[in-house]
Amino acid sequence: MLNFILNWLDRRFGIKKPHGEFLTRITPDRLSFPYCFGGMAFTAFLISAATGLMLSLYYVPSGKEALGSIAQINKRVWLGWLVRGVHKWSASILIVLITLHAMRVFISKAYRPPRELNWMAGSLTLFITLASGFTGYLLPWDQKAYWATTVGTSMAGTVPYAGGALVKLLRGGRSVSGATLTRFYSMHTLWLPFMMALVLWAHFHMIKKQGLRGAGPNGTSPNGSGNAAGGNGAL
Amino acid sequence: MAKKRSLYPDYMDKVFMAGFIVFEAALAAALLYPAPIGQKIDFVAQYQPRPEWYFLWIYRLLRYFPGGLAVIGAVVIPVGFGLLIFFIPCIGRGGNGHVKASIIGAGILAAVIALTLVAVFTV
Repeated sequence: MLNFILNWLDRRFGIKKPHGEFLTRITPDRLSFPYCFGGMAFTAFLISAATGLMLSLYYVPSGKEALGSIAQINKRVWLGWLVRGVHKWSASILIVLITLHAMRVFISKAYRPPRELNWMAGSLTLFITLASGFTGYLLPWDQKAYWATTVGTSMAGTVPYAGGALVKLLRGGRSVSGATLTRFYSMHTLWLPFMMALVLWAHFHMIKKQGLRGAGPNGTSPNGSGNAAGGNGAL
Repeated sequence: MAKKRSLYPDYMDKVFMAGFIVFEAALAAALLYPAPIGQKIDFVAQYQPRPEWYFLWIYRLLRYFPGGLAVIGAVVIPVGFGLLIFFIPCIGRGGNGHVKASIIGAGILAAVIALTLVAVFTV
């Protein structure tokens, strides 16, 4: 099925020729299910992004209207309750899958040279996801959201000397308020997704360049270029 | 020797199908456990909220560092774990680097899972 779709696209858009060497690259025989965790995590991110875009059509990021707009999404908007549910769940699934993917990469020693930078890029996706979870939690602007953010942001206040300034920076004021909601909404829907897109682009670029390690015979890539940068390792 | 597999379509097909499993899982979870609408904020009464499950370990950690030590549980340990994960490639260098990195990685994972479980099973 994917073959059919890509062939159709290829005749119009030309996706195979510029990526030919990459796409037809021989992959190791022992690519098992754990080697799909990264792709699965990416799918979970795409689901978060798509459902988030849908929710942003109806959500109102203001102290007076946020909770009402959430109720509207759940009750009035067609399938709104389902889109909201999928958005919430995809975040949890994403965190589990990034963790599983990291474990697979670690066990196959794929964090070692020349792939150090790609491990770091991957760890950034985990931090960005956690930050998205934290900022997203405030957006419904309900009892749990408000107090969880109050407690969560107050943690920065424990830092000696800089604590007070840090808390103010996070909250956009002394306490959690409408200013915090605006700030978190901006982070959740603009800053963090933009950072994620950049980091993921770098992540995929490096996979393409360096190949996938550890699945070939003796833990090398089957093309015999196991550790060499230069792009002829498998995947 | 086994048949040679190429990235496309062999591997990509597999990833594509795995992606479907993710979509179905999110959909099934959302159907079974939809996101509820919360209560209006009570700005006056102090309320002790539980965070999302992926922050429960920090929530639990805070309790072990009361008063002036709070910064250890709130900032030092979480940020320290993050830095260790980020710099795993530096820890894992050299002959027995992978062993060192394994101990640190498994240690962090075990600590986070253990604290999460303690938080889940305590009120």
